Amino acid sequence: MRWIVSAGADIVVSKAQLEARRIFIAEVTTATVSPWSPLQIPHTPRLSFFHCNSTDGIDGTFITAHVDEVYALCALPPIARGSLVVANTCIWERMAHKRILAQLMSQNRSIRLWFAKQEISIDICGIFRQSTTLENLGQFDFQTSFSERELYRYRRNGLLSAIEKAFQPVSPIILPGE
Amino acid sequence: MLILPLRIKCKQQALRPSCGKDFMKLQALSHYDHDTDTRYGDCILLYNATVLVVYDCGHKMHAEAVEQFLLNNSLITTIYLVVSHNDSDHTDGMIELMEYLHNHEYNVTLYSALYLKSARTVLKQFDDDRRTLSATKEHILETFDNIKEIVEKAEDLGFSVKNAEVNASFAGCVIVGPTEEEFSEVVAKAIKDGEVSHIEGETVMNAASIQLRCTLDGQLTTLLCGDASPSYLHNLDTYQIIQLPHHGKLDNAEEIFNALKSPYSKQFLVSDNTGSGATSGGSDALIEYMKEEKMTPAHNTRYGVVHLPKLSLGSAGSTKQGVKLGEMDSKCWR
Repeated sequence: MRWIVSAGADIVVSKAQLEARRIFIAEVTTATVSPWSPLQIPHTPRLSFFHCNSTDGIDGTFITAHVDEVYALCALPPIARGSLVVANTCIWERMAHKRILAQLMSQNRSIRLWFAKQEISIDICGIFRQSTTLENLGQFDFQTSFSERELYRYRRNGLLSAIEKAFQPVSPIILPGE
Repeated sequence: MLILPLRIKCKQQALRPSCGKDFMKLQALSHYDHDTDTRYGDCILLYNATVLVVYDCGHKMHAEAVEQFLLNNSLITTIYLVVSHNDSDHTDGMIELMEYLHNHEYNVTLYSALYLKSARTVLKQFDDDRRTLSATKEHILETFDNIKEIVEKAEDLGFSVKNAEVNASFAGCVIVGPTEEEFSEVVAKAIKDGEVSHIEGETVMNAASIQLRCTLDGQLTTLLCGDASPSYLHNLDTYQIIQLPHHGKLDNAEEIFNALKSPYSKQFLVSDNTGSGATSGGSDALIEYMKEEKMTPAHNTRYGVVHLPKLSLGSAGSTKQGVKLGEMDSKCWR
């Protein structure tokens, strides 16, 4: 599995938190995890990330970033050609998760996408948003989303099974009410 | 000139909820003089400037601690006593405490399960026509001997004695369980002849502990539940602070964690003054479990008296601040 985290100061926060996130990855995958290294998307200097790899045999990508960063990452062939993407991010704009899946499927018809479980919040403009929040809860030593904490709770089931429990699958079909 | 300071005071109270004299706080009592061998049992105080609720009093040392508490909080005149269930580690200090309260002329109300009021419902639980109502009542009194003694003592002392039924409320606290249906099942099992009665592996005395909801500092909804079986605890997601029953016994706690949508966002209270006896139980396994699961440790009386809410700011587990992962350039960030 490839793990990508936005290098934004609001997400990474500190070196210590980044290292705590790597320990978390080792615990949920029970695999060896490489050190973090910087990642830059070509021609988009504004967006920068860190990434590492776990030797769990899964050909997929787990992304913790703002939703537009996730969108940019999912346009990259190395990510879209994997078997799955886990987007630990907000839906924010209606159908954003469907657009990301459509973008992935334009390169790989069989890819699966999971999104973090969302809560409804109201932003300062008074607009309802489907969102996920990184919070300092528990003793993880870095800010986690609800779905990441769920991933940890279910880690003993195996990584894929824990992802299925902790994250929401995104369907290519637009269901009534979506 | 006189009005201005009052306005300032009110404004401070609005900003700092803990300033409100009517807001409830919690103290869960611990062991004494570093003696961790003695089984002191439970004693949890809920209080504001004028009212004290004593939820269980499992040892005479707790009774003395409550007496000292009242000396230090002389505006308190009204006391509510709640007996969660019949076990001695929840009741052993209650008689001494009641005598003190009587001698010092406090206005006292005792809330306890008055099972005799439900004797007919209990009788229906038996599939045995030979049982009579009067025999059932006698069995209830024999089986729930500590409660009987406390209730009789309270009546002798002229205290108000009330049935701890669901929705009974006092001092901003509400009894939320068990229902009559739940406790009548427990009582029936308890008085069945020749049977070592258990519910979910717990002795029946524990299962139907009286559950109390109280809001601390006007914002932290808290559940006290004695040794109650987790299956009798309802609406757990609505609480910010949950007492883990039976002194933090792990299998009970795990059931509660599994029932919660988001256990990491809750605070937990453990009253573990269980001493060092071989059968004392306690929260050792729970502490290890919570550490392994990266949960914020429970507020645990084994380390000393627990005061809630905590005065410190920004501790993990209590903040709702965080980072929303919406669009980076959105003009509508909060």
